[in-house]
Amino acid sequence: MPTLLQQAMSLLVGDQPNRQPASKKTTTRPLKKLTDRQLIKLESEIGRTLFGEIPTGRTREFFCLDNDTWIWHEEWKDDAGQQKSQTVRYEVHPNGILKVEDGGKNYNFLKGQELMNLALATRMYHERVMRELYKRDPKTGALLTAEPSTIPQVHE
Amino acid sequence: MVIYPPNNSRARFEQPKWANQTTEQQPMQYEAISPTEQYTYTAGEMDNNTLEAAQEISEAAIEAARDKAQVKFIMANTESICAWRKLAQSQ
Repeated sequence: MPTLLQQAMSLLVGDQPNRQPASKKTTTRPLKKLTDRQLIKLESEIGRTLFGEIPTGRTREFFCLDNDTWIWHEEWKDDAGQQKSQTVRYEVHPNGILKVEDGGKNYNFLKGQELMNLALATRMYHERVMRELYKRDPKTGALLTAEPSTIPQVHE
Repeated sequence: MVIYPPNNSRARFEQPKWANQTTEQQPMQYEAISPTEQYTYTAGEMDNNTLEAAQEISEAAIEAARDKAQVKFIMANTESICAWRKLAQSQ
């Protein structure tokens, strides 16, 4: 029976791996239990860094929402301390990328340099998310790590 | 350049020495044409505005093709990310 101190330490530092019986270890990949929303949040942590340093007091999200949509979202406070936000939705259509701003009030198809910039951003997003989150080679899809131990495992 | 004899010359009526030879044996005849005579521009082609318009159309076509390729590239990246996201959840 563990003491109260032992229980508290266990909560703080977690269980040591060698305390777990080998039979209870699973090779389940950690991402299996995550929902779309949770994975998107993890992807966005990478996506938000693709455009350089984020100014202090500003938050940014950039992520692929689904097969047809990319989202850019920023929040900040103006000089008067008012909370401001901007959301841009990029809709992927076979005939072009529709940029939708201000809740659909403004929209236009991207072209030229702006389209090229988005293409570059999606490429970087794809490469980094594949490598850093899904641990896959972006081109071949091959698992980057041969040893499952290098991927955090879920203990059941 | 083909040099014709003077109109009053008898030589005009003399057959060239290669006249009886086969086509392959006959010498090539070249006619000197000045650069301005090489091609007769139509009125539209001589118009600078028309030439500029043609150039603009060409550049627009190139840009449209480039944009189309970028859209395909974005579509491919989007589909790939979504597919791997689903796969990560299923494995």
